[in-house]
Amino acid sequence: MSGTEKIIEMIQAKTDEDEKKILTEAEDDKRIRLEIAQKRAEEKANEIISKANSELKAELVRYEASAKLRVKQKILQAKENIVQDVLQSAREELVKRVGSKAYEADLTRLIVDGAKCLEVDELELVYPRNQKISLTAAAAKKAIEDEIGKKTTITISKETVRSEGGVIVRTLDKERWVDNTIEARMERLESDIRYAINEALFPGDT
Amino acid sequence: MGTAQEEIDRIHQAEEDAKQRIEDANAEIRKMKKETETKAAEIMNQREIDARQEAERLLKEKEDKKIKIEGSILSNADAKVAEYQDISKKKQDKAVKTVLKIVLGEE
Repeated sequence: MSGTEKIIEMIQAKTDEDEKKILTEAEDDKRIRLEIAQKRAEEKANEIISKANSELKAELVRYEASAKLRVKQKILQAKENIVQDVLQSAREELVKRVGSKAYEADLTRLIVDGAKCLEVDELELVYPRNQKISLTAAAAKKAIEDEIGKKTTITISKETVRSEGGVIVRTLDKERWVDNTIEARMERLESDIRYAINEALFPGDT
Repeated sequence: MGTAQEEIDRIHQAEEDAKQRIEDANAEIRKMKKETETKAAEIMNQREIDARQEAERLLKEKEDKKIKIEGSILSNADAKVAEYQDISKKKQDKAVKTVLKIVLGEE
């Protein structure tokens, strides 16, 4: 082999080497770039899916809480409807009771209760209009004195009150009174009544 | 054997060929880089499209999940309401009597 041949061969060998090096580096660069792209794509995809998952989870948590609240309200409303039914039945029973024999004892109790609260010697009783059973002044006086043990003067007022039953017990000067009509007692004792109804119907829930 | 000039020309030609090969290789690399950038962008775009579709699918499932949650909670509520109504039928008289006792001062 001549010197020229050798030089040409050396040039070609060097070119082969450089060309191979350039292409190898380019292939490596390509591989690395694609790996980075793949990694970034995965990161971006994870970010999108993770955000969607978080939004979904948060919305479902909110929805569940809201649904539970609606259900709680529904249950409370159902209980309230039942309580209202009981109250309505009780009102009807009270009206029936006002016309019954047992009512006289009830009325006596309400009068004595009013007298005990007022703690005076002279009292006036105001009955509902058209009440069939009313205690006489003498009977009321006896009941109060038997219970309290103190002489008491009782007057039956000519005034009447609009009510289904019961009595207003008041001082003669009309300054103080106890409204023991059925309607007033139902209103005044509403929280006790509701508690008692709940205890009777839903003992574990009160 | 050629003349000295011929020898020099051959070496020169070999150098020119080598230079051309390297230029071709560099051109190939530029082309490859461009293709790589395009391919990388495609990978990212395609993955993003897939991810957005997956996210949409998740959000579509939301309505089904809501219906399931509501169904489960409401069925419990309906059972509870039915239970209360049943109890109230059995115990209403007792409750009414209790109310009467309170209103009429027996308790």
